[in-house]
Amino acid sequence: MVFPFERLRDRLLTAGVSPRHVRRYMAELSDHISDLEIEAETAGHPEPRKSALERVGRPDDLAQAMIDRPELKAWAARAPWAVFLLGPPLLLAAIDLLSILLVIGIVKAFGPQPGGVAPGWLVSLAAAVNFIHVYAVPLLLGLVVAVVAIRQHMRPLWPLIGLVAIGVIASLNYLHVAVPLAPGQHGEISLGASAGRWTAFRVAINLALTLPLYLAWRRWRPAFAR
Amino acid sequence: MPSRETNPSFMSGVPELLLLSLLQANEMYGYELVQAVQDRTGAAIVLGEGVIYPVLHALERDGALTSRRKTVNGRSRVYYRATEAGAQRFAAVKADWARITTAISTVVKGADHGFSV
Repeated sequence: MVFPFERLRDRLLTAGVSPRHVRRYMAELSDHISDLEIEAETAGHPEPRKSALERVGRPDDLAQAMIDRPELKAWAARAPWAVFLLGPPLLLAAIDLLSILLVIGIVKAFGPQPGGVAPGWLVSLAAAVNFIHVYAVPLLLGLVVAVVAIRQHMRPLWPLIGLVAIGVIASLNYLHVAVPLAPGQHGEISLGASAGRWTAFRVAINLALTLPLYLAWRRWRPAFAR
Repeated sequence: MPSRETNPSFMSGVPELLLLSLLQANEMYGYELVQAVQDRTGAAIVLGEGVIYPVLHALERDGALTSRRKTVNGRSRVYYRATEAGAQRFAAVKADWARITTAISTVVKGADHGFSV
């Protein structure tokens, strides 16, 4: 006899139970069944495994006991609007702030004197920050949404709303680092939101980076899990 | 004035009371807890073997318990122990339980002596 751990795990995650609690519940049930089996063996039970599975409880009852506790639900299930709509802009704001602090810190510590020309490494760093902000940050945010949704076995509605929101917000958000390339020039960090003729193109790029990744992962994850 | 609140968690609070009681002094894992409840109540109370874990998880989430994975005799298990907040919660639940059982005893004894309720 085999305990249907995979089916129980799937049911709990789909019902919104936090992956952390599901993982531990599975481990604890597995340990508990082993203990019951040893106890049944010691008592001379002819079918210790069967006895252990009967005593641990029916999978439906085990699932319901967990599902009936709202406090064990994940935020993605309790408030998907907060996780998938508010989460990405907050994460983007945090990334913007960290990027700015990082650039300021590096320039203050190792940058040129006022009025001086930026060394090559600083030009490269500024270009890297600009590139990462345009292409890698939306991908990173999309990855976070995809990981949360896949771990929680969520239906695709909220993750897709989140990915579209990321596509739009990351396109409107603007962070640009400019460094002095000639004597007398000054460096500049610009942060803001703007919509222009490239916005639709950037939205399309962002969606092209994130949507296929999520959809492919969602489509093939069960196959990988097997 | 006494509260007129009903007590829907009257029986559903029993596992919580028993688990908090056992975990005040000892660190224990799930199977051990089920066995301990069975032994100490003379098998009058048999907790659902697998369904105690959601109760333990919920108590831990509320800060009443802490847990840690520990390996004993080559077996790795999650051990639970009551926290300071768990001790306070246990005292409150125990007082509620004492109040309810006293109330029930009074009614039952009254019925034995021919009082009507």
